[in-house]
Amino acid sequence: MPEIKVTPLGAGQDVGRSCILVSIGGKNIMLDCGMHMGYNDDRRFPDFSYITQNGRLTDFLDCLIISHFHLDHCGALPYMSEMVGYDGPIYMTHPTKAICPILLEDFRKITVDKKGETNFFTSQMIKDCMKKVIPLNLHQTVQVDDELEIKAYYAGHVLGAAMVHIKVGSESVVYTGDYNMTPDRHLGAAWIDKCRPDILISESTYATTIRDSKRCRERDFLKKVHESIERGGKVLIPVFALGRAQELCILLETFWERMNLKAPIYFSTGLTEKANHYYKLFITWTNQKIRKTFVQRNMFEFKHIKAFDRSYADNPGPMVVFATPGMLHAGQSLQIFKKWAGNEKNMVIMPGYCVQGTIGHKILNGQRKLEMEGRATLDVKLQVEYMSFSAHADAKGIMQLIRMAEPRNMLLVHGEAVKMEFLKGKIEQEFSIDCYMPANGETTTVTTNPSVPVDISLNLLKREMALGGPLPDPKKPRTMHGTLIMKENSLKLVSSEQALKELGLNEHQLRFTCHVQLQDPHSDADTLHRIYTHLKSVLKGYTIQHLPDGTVIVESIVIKVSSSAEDSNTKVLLLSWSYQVKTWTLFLEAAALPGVTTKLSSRHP
Amino acid sequence: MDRECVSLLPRVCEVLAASGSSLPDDTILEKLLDWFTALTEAGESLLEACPCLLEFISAVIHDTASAPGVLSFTLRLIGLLAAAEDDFIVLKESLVLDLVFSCQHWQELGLWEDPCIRIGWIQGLRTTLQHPNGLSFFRQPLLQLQTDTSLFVASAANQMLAHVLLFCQPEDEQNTSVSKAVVENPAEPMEINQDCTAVVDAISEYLKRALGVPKGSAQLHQCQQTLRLLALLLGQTKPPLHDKLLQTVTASLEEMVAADCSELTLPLMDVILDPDCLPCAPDLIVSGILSLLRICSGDSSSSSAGCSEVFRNVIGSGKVQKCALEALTAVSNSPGEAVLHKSYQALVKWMSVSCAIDLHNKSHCLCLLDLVQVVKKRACDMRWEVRDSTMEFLGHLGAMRVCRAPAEQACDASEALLGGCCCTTPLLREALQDPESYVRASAIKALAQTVMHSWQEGAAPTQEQILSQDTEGFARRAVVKFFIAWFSSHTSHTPPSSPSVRSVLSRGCADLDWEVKVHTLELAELLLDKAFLGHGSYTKGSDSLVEQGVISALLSGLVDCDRPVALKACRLLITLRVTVCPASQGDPDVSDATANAERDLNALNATSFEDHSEEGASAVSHCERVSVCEALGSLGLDDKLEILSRSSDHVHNSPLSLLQDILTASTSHTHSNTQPGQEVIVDCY
Repeated sequence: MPEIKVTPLGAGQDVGRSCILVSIGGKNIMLDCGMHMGYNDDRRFPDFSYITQNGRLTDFLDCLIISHFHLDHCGALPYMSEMVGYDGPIYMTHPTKAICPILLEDFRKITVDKKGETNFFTSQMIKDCMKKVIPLNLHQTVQVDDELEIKAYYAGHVLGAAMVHIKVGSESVVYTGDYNMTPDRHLGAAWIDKCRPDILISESTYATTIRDSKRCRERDFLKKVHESIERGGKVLIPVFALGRAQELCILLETFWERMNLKAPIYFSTGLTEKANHYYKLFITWTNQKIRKTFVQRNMFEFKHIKAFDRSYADNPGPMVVFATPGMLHAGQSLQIFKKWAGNEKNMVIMPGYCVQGTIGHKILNGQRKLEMEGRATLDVKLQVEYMSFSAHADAKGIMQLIRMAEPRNMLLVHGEAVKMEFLKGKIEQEFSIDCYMPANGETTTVTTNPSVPVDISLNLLKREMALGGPLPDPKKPRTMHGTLIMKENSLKLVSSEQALKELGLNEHQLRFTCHVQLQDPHSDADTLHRIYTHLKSVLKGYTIQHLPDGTVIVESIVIKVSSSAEDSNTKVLLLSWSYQVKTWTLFLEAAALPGVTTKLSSRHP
Repeated sequence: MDRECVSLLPRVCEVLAASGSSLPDDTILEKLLDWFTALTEAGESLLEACPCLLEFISAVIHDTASAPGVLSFTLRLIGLLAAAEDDFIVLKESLVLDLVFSCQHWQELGLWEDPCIRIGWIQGLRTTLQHPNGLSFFRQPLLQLQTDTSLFVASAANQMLAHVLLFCQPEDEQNTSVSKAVVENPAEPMEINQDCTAVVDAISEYLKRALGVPKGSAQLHQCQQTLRLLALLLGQTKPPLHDKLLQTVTASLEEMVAADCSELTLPLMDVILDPDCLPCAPDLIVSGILSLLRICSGDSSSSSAGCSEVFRNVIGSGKVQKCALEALTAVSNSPGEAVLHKSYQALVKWMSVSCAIDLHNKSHCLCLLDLVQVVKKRACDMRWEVRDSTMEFLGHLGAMRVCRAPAEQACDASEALLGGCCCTTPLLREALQDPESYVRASAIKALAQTVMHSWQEGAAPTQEQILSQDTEGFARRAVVKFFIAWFSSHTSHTPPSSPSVRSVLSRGCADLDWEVKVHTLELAELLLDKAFLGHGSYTKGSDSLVEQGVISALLSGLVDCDRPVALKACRLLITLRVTVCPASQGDPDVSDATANAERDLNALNATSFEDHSEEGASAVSHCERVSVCEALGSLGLDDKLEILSRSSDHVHNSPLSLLQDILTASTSHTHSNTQPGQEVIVDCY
């Protein structure tokens, strides 16, 4: 039976870097190629030696698909293509292709700036890698090769995020990447065809959560920022250059407008212009409201948000600053944090998860005294807030997507084991389909039952109907006889005559003969008659003829009798038949005559 | 070991032992092991330094409620400890080793099902096998684990088997690491050698059994895994063992190759192919590849009739072209990518290794004409990828020296191939306005490569404009490199025009991108070198440096908040100090207030500029030069260098910080249990 195999190298029962291997119809596909931020060495990248040694990745993989530009989904891409040496096709959507290098470059700069890093990719590698990327349009089927095709669907989450439908023959898999089933301020909700894939591989970050009202969270966020500004404090929001930062910008911009606030909002320089440029360029990827209004006013042309200069950090008075990186482990956000940490009027809002070894991780755990370089300590007096604004589908959203796509099997990734377990139970109960949650390195194998479409010739159908069979009905499968021919990659069931004609072949009939000896003292004619009578009694309902030329005929079987030259009591039965199943059965029954010694010797004509 | 760490470790052990599945971050156990490994490698006995580890181990392995992750960590820790022979004995006497390395024990507990236990078990065992005593723990299940359902377990088992075999193999025909140990520790040589032989036999026997034409998917999996193991082994083993292995498996390999099973092709190739061995002469390969490329682009004139079927599949195939070009580049040794890019690369590579271009040769000339057309067309392609590769190609050509035959002067390849600047310069200039910053940067880089030409000076103002206006770091970085290339190509010791130098330095130092700043300091370095080499006198040298703004660039770099900038500036200032200051003054009291010194030096620098503008090229006075030395001495450069040379997160990524984080997380975790809703949700970045 054909199988589909799914092996996560990352994101199996965890929310680390995503990297999932799928084998379907003889094709090997890698889904996402993420980076783990928790390490400073090669462990940050997926270990491709599990797939193949000697860097023969290109020979093994048929293609690599990146779902969106977050680093835990694309961060290892330049490593894989430029350092490990994968040279096959890489697919991602247009916005992802445009924005991905900005994030990679930003992260590279921060990483190299920090020092103490080994084996990291360079600017040139990022560029060379991006040159190999083949961009995808939504809902456009792309033929990777003769058999493998992929199609991207809108996933929400961040600009350019896509789900992807992978198809080989009649087998298919959908990978969701990260997705969001509810629209937000700048993006729409994920959507997919009822494509009934064999497996739906879905993220499950919020597998057990029914997210509290987004409005609530937003109000809370604005209230906190506002309070801090009102008391003359400065607010730092460490972010990863693009993505959720834009959502927060729109939120603040609208609020500033409404409340007529004057305090400046800044965004790390170099990134704002570029980010907004791309958000304007890819306006079709945003939600309906933004698309509708952008002619009058582009949401990404912010009135209140300006480019940040390092010297502004020392300006007196309140301000809000978005700065990279998001975990406060280096670069501009860390510099600003150090300046502002000592004042209790200030605030830092962490909008995302922070790995161990970063200041973000420490302050989120409540550390208030941070050791700094040269035995100095930093007293953290500013207010520390954690507010996740990441846009993932919650449990309800995941169920909704299952209803949309109607998969035959479900496979959960990008989530915590305990939460997955819970959701798995719910899915299996509600949809009566199998749900898998392989750990990293574990392979889930799903057997598929591919249906192969076959055209049936009209003639054959007519003949079938003429024989009094029922009319064709897709709901009632039944057996049909004919010759299956494959022509120009499609299958056709036709009558054998038509098959011969279409394929330009001649018909040959195969006849088999054999001699059976039996002891019978009667004359040849009598023996034949005895056989005739016996057959008549055994094979009721068949036409059995006794011809005057000394032949008995049953269907296609011809029987003749002659005496042996040495012994007239020994009769030799000559049997000859054409190769048909029905005839063969008859022959066996005939051969089972009581008292007949069978000494079969067959000879092909 | 750090005393503070030693004092925190017992509490951390308690937290870990009691943590259940609630570890705050999945990397902390890995990082702890990294630390322990580093300590062991530094020669410390962990058990001696931290007796609490033994208690921890015993608590975890006897507690049936221990989390699998912590158990796995503990197994690896035990292996790490047991790698030292003294600790091995302690652990063996406390019966820990026999318990934890018995997989039956884990099976009975129902924990063996968890892949992370199996991995911990394999890796623990592997680290134990650093000395011959460990061999007694070689366990048969290892062979079964080789075909484990978990890719990670199977791979770890393969690594382990390879490790064991290599451990047992004779080194340089004299000693195995085992027999060496036997000499050092002659108490039980027989036993150890027997262990060794038994292990080698068991593994060879296994290889023999596991290889063959697979029937069914389980066998296929085993074959694939075993082939991987074999590839690992053949790559690392030395003659006697290597030959023995080959003898064991050759028949099976032949059988498998003959069976032509597509799933085995890749692993079989890994085993069979020796990367250093080309199957035939390079010339033959090249001509083969060239005809293949001709077929790909539709030219089948040279082909024989019978292959039309093949042609149909090959013509226009990007995949084949890519591979062919790659092979072409590989024959002259280099990696590469998409078709056009690869063509350019192959062309550049081939030019650099072979051809003398003969402009009197008609076919050469025609070929060059074609190339000019292609380059012009590609330079305005819709896709930035194509434009960029074209610019890069021009840059590579510019950098390459070729000989024009017959007996003409050497020139750069772009001149030879494309007729020089009259063709390339307009293309490059146009590309300076490209909307895509990658292309702008490549064009600037290409301009910098064509260093021979006088028009380069003309390009300088445009470059300066880019430096001050381009929104992208790539382009600005390229501009500074352009100036570096230009200045270093100048034979005279004074750079072309001083105002330009000063403005490049000051703009570069004030850039938002730290890499631009680092490149600017590289430019300053070049100027430093030239100044001192050229003038042979400190006075004149430092004079021109002040005039060009090199000193202010270095000083502003030193106080830059980007670490690589400060580091580079610090190194250069130290070089300057060594060059300028007499030895007696070169080692001043570093405890001077750095801030004061900086202010002094800035003031001095400012005065020098004023002096310069009023008095023309006259020298700064002797007493000012002396104060430069004093100021340089008082900057505390050596201390700064030490700090800057370390990673900026060395404090927060230190073992001490890790231990503190584990402790804080555990208290904040208990705390957050009482305050629901405070949980930090792990999501993406």
